[in-house]
Amino acid sequence: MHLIDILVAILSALFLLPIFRFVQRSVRAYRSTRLLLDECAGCCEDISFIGCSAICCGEYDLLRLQRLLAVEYDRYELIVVVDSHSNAALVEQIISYFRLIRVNPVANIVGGEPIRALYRSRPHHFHRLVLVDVRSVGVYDDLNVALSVASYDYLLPLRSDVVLDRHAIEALMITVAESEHSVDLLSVASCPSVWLFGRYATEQAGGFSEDILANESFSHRITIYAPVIYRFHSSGNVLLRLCLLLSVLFFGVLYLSLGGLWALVVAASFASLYAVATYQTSLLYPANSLKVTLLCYFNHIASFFYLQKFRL
Amino acid sequence: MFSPMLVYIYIVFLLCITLVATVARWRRRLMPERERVLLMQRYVTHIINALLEHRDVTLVVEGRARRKLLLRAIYLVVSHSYATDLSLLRGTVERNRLDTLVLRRIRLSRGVRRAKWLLWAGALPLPRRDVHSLRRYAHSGDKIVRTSALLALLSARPSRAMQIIGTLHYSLSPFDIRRVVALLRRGVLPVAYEPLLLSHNTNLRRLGLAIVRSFGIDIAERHLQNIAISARNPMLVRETLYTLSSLGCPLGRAKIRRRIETLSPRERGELCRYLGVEGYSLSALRTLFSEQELSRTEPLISSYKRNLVCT
Repeated sequence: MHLIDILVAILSALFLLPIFRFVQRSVRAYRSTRLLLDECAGCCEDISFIGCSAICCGEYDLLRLQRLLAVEYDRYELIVVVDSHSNAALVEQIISYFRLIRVNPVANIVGGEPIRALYRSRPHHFHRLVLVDVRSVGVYDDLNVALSVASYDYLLPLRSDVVLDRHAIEALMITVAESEHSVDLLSVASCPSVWLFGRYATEQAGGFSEDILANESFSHRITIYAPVIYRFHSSGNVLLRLCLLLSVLFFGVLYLSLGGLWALVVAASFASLYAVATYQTSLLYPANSLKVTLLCYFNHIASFFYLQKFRL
Repeated sequence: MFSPMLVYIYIVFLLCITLVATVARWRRRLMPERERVLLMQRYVTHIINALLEHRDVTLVVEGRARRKLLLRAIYLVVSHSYATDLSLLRGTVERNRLDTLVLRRIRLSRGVRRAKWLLWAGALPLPRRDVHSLRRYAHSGDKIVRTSALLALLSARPSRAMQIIGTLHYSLSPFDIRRVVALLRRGVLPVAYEPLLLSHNTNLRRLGLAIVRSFGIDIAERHLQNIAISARNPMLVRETLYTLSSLGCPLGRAKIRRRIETLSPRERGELCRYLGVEGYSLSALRTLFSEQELSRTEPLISSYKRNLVCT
């Protein structure tokens, strides 16, 4: 029991140390990003000539597209990949709402279905919207088609439940521009399922796939800790808090009834994890709910042991 | 017998975390948000009206929270206005002892907070000795602190901008240069690009390139071509090529073509795509890149140009 107690205590400490370091980095990055981007107006265009092409697959919600287009960064475009054969009316709605014009289609670079039609937006406000009509066979093929159409050097595939902060693109581009080497892959700590892919490395890897993150083309990888991209708030926060508190109580009761240091130590670990998560959630609101914060922690620890797969 | 010391340490650690979180939340609640917003609006309106009428700002506030809010309001107005006469703020700075407050907070804080106070100091009309005391922060190991200190020094002593930047021991990042250009746009620094481009200092040259790009100064083409041909720093060469292309200048000179050939395949691909998006024709690109490199950019160019003209 003596050695097990010590082992459990050490393991709990090792579990918590990366989390505290993660919190420290996130809070500092959040503060510095707020300082730089909220109070340095008009100095984010065209940083180091790099641009970003955000990609949405199967997105037909006009409001969401408008929000994704409301980015101030100069060299930015939004590529939407749709299938007009399965959603003809919705595609027509997008074309008429954003006043898109049909242009010459582009040949695929890394394979995938041939492009049926390519549309670009004309009016100044929407001048950065690109609509690609292609037969949808899978999300990775859609992304490869978007790769062929993209104008810029960095690609940002977005899930439907992901929210961009007001200055998210600027923050990403600043991080890339300030890196000493050319960045091949940038991960977002506050949203584990979002990555910014370097175009050159993605083409070298043969395009998007589930195992693309393991490809050796992505030799230079960095992480941005500022919570500029995050997922929608979950409505289960109250339930989650209740579950956590019950877990703490459970281990406390276990300790009192059965004795043993390990139960108390694990309960203390859970409680400190909960306290830190609550603090970070309140500080970084609305960037993270408690559930997303905890998921980020666990993902951060899991990333030490295995390489994630790229899933949208 | 196992010592319970470990458990006590754990519990104390937990209590400390909770205490820190509680204090942080309590500090945020010292002044209610609504009151803070209303006061900010009042201060900002007063300062803007005074500056527009070219009269002294006569705000006097009590309490550290309000002084901090006034300081923030001054920074907000100054950082978003052109050619502000900082002498009109001198009275309110002295009456509210804002210079003492800001210098003390700079000394006592660290990291991002120190950077914030340095930025705010740059918006105040500080006496020479106080400006001199900020110089040591321009050599800080923390990047955000030294950049903020640099901006504060440039705001306080614009006539010595070239000397300040020329003596930096580190390279300015692209975003830092953009922030310096933002000072130019506010009329804080003079827009003299030629001495910057002719300088041998990399930071000054890059600042000159940023000014040319930002203001679209076509007449600087000759200087840019000389830099692209003669500069040894590959980053500077690359930046000059991009600046030339952002101005729409021709890149067909033999020496410039040879320089482009020295770029890596990745850099050549990126430049080719950049030129295509900037509006260079295929015939212009064919003189600079191979058919294989053009094969990826040619469809992109045709998708931008052909049907738009017909429509």
